[in-house]
Amino acid sequence: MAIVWNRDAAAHLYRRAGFGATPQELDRAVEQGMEATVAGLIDYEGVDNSALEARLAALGPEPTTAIEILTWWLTRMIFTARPLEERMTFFLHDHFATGLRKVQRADWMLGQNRLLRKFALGNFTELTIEVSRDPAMLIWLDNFTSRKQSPNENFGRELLELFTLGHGNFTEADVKAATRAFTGWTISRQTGEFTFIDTFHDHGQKTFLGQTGNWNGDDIVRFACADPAHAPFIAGKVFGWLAWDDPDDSTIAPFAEAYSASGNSLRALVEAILRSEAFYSERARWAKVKSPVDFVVSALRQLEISRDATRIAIGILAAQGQLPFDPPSVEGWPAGIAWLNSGTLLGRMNFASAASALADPVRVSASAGASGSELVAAMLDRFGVTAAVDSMPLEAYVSPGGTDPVGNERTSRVRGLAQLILSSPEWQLN
Amino acid sequence: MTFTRRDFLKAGGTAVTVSFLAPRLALPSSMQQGRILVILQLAGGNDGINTFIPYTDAKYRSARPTLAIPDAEILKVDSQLGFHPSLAELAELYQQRRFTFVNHVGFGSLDRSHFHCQDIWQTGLETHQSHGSARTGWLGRWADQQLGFDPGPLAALSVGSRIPLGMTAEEIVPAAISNLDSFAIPTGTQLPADRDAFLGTLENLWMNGHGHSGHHDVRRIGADLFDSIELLENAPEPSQTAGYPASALGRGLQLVAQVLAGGYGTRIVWVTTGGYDTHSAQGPTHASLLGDVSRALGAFQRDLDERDLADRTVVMAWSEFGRRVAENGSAGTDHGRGNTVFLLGNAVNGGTFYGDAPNLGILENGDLPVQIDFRSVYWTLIQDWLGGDPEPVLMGRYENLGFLTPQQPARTRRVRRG
Repeated sequence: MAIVWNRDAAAHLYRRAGFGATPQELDRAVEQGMEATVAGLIDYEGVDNSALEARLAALGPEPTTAIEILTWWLTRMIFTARPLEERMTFFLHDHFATGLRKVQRADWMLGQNRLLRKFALGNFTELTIEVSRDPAMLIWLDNFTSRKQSPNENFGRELLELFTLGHGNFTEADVKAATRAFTGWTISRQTGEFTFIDTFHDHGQKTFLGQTGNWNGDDIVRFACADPAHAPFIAGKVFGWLAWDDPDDSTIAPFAEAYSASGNSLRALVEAILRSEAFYSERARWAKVKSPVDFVVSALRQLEISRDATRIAIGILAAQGQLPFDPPSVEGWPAGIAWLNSGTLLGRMNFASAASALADPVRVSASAGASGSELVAAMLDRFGVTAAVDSMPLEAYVSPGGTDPVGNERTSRVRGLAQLILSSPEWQLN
Repeated sequence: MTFTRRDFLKAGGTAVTVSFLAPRLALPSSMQQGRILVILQLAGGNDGINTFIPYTDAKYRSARPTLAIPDAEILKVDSQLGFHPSLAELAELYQQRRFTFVNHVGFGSLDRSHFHCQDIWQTGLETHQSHGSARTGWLGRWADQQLGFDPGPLAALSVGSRIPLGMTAEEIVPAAISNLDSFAIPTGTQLPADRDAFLGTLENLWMNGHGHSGHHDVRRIGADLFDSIELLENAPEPSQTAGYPASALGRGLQLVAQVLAGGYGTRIVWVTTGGYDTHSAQGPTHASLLGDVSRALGAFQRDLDERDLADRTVVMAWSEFGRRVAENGSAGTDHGRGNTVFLLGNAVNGGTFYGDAPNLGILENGDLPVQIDFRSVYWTLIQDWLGGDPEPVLMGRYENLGFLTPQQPARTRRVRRG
């Protein structure tokens, strides 16, 4: 079964690897083919992002408050020319879920974001070692207080259960050994940066995953990330994030293999997934529910709203429970249908109305001809839902009695089409 | 403009709409008569000691040099524990035997994080138990067990825009409503002449789509939304006489009473109010918070009396932990442990409290000890009020605290209407 590369497949790729494509991005993707489009998403460091950088510079100096770091990241998500960077940074934030609510230092949360961003397609083992030294994480899971005489297991446990191995792949004794190895990993009172305090560290012999020695925290991360359970765990999580929730072992196996063979490179893993038949299969299409961040960011990107809409974005994300930097727990955000209820669905419809009102109706329908059916086709294409949403009721709405809309009617119906598509059951999926 | 089934019909939606919606909009009367539990979450850690005050304990004043409530102001409706002066309505309900509280409630593990403790209360599981399984709440698990396949879109109601973890279920999706006035599909981008067509088109997209497997669950939630809007279009008017405070909590409970009075089969409700994390200058803040709760609950009870719902409704209010007995250096209190849970309703065996009165001479690390597992409160509410088997819901066995009169919900004890 070969991959059929067409506009619909490209729209799917951009929904998952980014936050939806614009019509121009779809044009280019179809022309370039799958390999070049995936490569363009992955090799993002060569992509000009100066328009975003200018926007960020206009926000002011280094963000320091909760609202400033939120605005900074949402601006990146909405206006970046490197969508996979933001998508994977957000994945890693969900994976190493850390919350400002407990950390109480926006600058440290920003620092953690920069770390995750640096390793968005980097080496996972090296990233995990860095995360174990990250001030926000040291606060979040209490390791900054963990000493030989009074070890705190919070980080040691989550490192194994949530970050590297998964439930059932380690013992309580491994948790204790990992915890002992991380004693003394703390934050300097003077600099606010990671420091190792030798006198707090447990230098004794530790047996971790069957290996005995005087291990420290770095050793623990390396052993865990070399364990046979690690590659399937991470591959399953990334595949679940990009393709469909809760994939089975046989689906994951080739991606775990590619990840392992690369020495735990996220780049190798993501590349293998985005070029796979599984990723483009019917099974994967519309198989995920848009999270609030997916919903908000892709609505604003696909409507090409150029003004700053981060305030209304923050409003709906707070109401729907997915403010970046504020995950509900160390397990990250729930996925799937849990995002939807009557209140959140109505909230999405209200956001659809607000975003459609902000959009420039001339710009979003520029490529469309005068007829109602051309207008509907252009709007469905804009949101990448040509194959998913039934065009007939939309055509009846745009051209009642077969009369094509002009002037104010056309403006109202362009906005109406945008609002209807964003409010449709199909668009709640991703 | 509100989106209703009549708009569907006007816009050309036909028999599909009617057959799709009609069975869900007319609940059998048995489902309209079920008992109702309202959960009130007091987020932040309410200071139980200054709520129900151990005024006969000499150590109260020494532990609280600036925060102790002057003796003359305490509402001494009980011989051991007095009510904070802001709790006039609750003190009166206590005297009417419709209000009570349980002391020393909490859980075994020592954790002072708001975040973790709220999770523990909401899931009904200690943190180490909750990993690796779907995160559901205790009341959500009850709903999955008892509410059946299709209890109607308003069987479970969260006031706000989200479903609290405590009500999160595998099957049942509660309604989340912030405000009845804005509970309508927005049509603001549309010219007036286009609005009906717009709403009819949206209906068509939701009711007649083809599609992918994931659409079924999404469409069900959409149907719940449209049904809820349709039902609540004709919701009873807010009470003009109950006297709700003009606060978010007052408005929230007023909304709850309207929905309950509509007879939509609502069984469980969740309302959250916050601000209880009083680390500094606690006195006026706490008085204002308690005053709001007391006035709002007093008005809610009057409203329920007037609507003949008081025999069917119980309110349980909880907070994630109590506060330390000794005040801190900022005229506030820090995070403690054991706390009080409030219960209100005609079926409540009120006028006395449950659990020992706090003894400030017997503390654990400066905290009131935990003597009653919080799940005993849930156990009692399920066993004696909501119905069903509490053991699988709570994943363990807990004691019945006896604060409810389940058999005869207390008509004879009903007092004069406010």
